[in-house]
Amino acid sequence: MERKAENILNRYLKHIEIELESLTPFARKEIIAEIRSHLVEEWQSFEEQNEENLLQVINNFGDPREIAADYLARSPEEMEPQARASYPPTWLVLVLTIIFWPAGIILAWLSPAWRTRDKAIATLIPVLIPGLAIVFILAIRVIIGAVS
Amino acid sequence: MKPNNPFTQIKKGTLEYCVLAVIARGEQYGYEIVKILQEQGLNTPEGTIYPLLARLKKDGLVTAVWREAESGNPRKYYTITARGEEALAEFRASWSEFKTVVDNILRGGLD
Repeated sequence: MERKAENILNRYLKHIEIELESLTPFARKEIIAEIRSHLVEEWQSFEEQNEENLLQVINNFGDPREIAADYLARSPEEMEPQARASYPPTWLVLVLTIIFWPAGIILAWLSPAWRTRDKAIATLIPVLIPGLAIVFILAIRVIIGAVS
Repeated sequence: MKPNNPFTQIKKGTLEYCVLAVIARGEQYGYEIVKILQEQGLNTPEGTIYPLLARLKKDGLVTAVWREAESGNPRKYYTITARGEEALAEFRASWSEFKTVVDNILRGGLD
């Protein structure tokens, strides 16, 4: 494919891809590959391929925003977790965990944006850090005691 | 076609089953489905059928597989599933009933 035509095609596909930002990368890639396949096939059906008929092919395919909106309306389950309702925001959970651990942790467990593994880590950090600090101090004391 | 045209809404609701009916005739890929629908006189912006195919696949009414064409262009082929056949048969029955009712009212034969 001629470079200029390739650019026209890529720009159009990029436009759709950007509009599909909230989908998973896999779903997005699959959609773009299928649309590219259609556009290339349609363009190849012309006797001679030029920029003019490529633009015509793109025009027949439709408005990128409308196509993307159709995909999004039809596949909410393929969205990235953070694109769904993600209250409370992650920054608030982190700040509250530092200032007032129980409130932050409760919010973290309520949040759909956090995976269970992350929630468990967030919950254990305040327990583990003082625990490790005590073990560390005790170990140093033992070492100092042994030396003197 | 203007969005307030009554046929825009009817088309929107029936296009999904028209696509399913085309796939039911045998394995098809998107471009081919669009061309068959156009030959039959059902013209929509070509891009509209792809989100619909994604939906049919997610609902388990069709399956899809990628294969390379002789031209080197990869194509995504769709095949109807047993559930798809069932949904299509149900729609055919409901549509036929609906069509009879509407035809009867339009003809003025309100009996």
